[in-house]
Amino acid sequence: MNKKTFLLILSAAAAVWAIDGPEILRKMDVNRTWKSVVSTAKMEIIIDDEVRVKAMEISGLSEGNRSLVRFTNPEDEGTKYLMLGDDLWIYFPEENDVVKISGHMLKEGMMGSDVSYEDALEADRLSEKYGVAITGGETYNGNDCHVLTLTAKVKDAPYYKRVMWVEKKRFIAWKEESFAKSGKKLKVAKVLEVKEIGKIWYPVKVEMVNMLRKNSRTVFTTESISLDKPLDAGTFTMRNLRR
Amino acid sequence: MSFILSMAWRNIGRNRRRTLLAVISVTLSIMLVVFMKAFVTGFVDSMVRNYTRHESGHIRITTKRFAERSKLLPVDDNVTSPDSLITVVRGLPEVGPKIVFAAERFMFGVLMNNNGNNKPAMAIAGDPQQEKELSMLYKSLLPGGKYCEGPREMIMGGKLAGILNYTPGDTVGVMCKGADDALRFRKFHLTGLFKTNINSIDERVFQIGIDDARALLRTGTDAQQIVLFIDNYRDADAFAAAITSALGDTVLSVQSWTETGPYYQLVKMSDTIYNWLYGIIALLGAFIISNIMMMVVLERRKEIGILKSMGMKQREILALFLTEGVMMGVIGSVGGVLLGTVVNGVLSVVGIDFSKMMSGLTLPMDNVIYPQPDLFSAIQMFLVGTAVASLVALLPSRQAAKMNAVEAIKSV
Repeated sequence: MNKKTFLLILSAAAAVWAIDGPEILRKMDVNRTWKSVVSTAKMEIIIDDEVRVKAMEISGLSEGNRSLVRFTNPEDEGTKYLMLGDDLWIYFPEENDVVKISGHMLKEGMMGSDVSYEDALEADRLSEKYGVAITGGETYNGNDCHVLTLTAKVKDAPYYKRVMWVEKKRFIAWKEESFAKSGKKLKVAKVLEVKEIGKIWYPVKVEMVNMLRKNSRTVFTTESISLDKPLDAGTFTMRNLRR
Repeated sequence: MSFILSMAWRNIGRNRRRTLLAVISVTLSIMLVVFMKAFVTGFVDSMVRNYTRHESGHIRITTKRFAERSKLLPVDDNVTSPDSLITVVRGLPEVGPKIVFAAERFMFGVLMNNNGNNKPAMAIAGDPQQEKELSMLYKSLLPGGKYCEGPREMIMGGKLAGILNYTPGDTVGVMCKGADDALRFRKFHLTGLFKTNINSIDERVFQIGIDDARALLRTGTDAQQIVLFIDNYRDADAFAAAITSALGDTVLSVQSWTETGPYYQLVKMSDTIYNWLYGIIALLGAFIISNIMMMVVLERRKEIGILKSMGMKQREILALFLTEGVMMGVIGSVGGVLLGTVVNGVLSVVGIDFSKMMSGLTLPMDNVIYPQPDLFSAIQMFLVGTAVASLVALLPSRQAAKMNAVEAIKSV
């Protein structure tokens, strides 16, 4: 085998084994795949010099995209969010009543944070809603990353375009910028800390900045988490929401 | 001079039909102008009254950050210790005695829902007893309704209730963003419906007590705005400046109603446009005097020649014809002012109903407009009529005065 043939075979093999955009999305989706999640978390909403802290308990089942969030900080004690598929209900304990959130209200910040209800509801695999292209490679925070550009291929995608800095080794999206169709930057999310849970790299500390708000950012910290523990499906019902 | 007056008086009576035509023309135009002026005043006053009562007050005190974003009615930039601030403002010697009402208020957007009917609406929240005096919502309550005086009580526009299928006695859920920017929800007991005949209010406004608003929005004892009502809204600019100067450099913004909404610009613009329009209408009405005077001068050329040859001076001829024009103008203007005042007097009681025309408008205007006649405007319009009549009579009078006596006598 001469040198030329060897190089040809090597480049052909490289072409076969080179990872493409959809494959990266698939591997990222693996990092978001679990049967169930039970966690406690806090959300620090920082506006100018003021910090508002929201504490919560989260339970979630992947099957049917069901989750229940119960706020535990004194001001919002007992407020619950129930997400079933694409639907969201909020239970207001002072009124002992439930309100369904829909339409443009889903774009509002959750508990006044930079994270919208729509962001929180997002559970679909990225590959189902976005077309993807590798548009570069960069080192971000010391991690060798692919730069992916995702463009919505369905109307109900929350953002028209998303640019992600995805680590080549562990497929963690360390940074994400989301854009409107007009090109306006809407959100910037940065993963500040990840934790390995089984085979999954879970982002336990994320900072989100809503670019449409002035001097505001939200840091979401998962304080404790356990994955794939059995959960009662009755947790995610309207009856339990009012309980 | 008296002989000129008596000659002019006799001359305008020589062809009574023609004089009557000129006088009627001036009368109609001045009557129209008098009516229009009173109508526009009534229209503007209705807009200012409704706007200041329900939105801005005559003077509004808010934080500067609220003032910058006031169109969005934010609830997260509020005035702290509003009661102390009211005490300070009431204590100002040049402003305090003129304050009729000082009220703490919240105004904010909400979303209402009833069995799938979603509707954005606007809450007005203040002290129920004060708002009773101030706002027209209480006065516009439909029979059978009760005012919202207790906790969790609400009154809403009849049209808004119709859209959402609510009737008095129902429980109404209100959702909005609170001071912490989080979604908040509170239930109210609908005690009554109001009908103000202002579509922008009847279709989207409801009223609750300020304590309920504070509980819903989680604002503590703060107030979004303090609205001041003074005895004459036209003094608002000067008083707002006085309060600003007394408060010094603070986070607060003190604004007169002329600064807080688009309506003042509209009022100013309409004032200019209408003043021009009044002049044009008066000119058109008086123009017939000019035509008639031209004919009179041509008809009376021989007479002018004889008067001149008998020694009447050029300026006396000018004065004679001018006096005839002015007399017709004065009679027409007096008639116009009198007729206009009578029409306005009747309509200021009966009103003009624009309900059908205004069904799609969102301006804060009453559906029934009551013209507002006033003596000053009547005198003003009389002077305009007389001045314009004199102006249009000047040209033919000068023509008469400049005639050559011999040629005038020779003319056929």
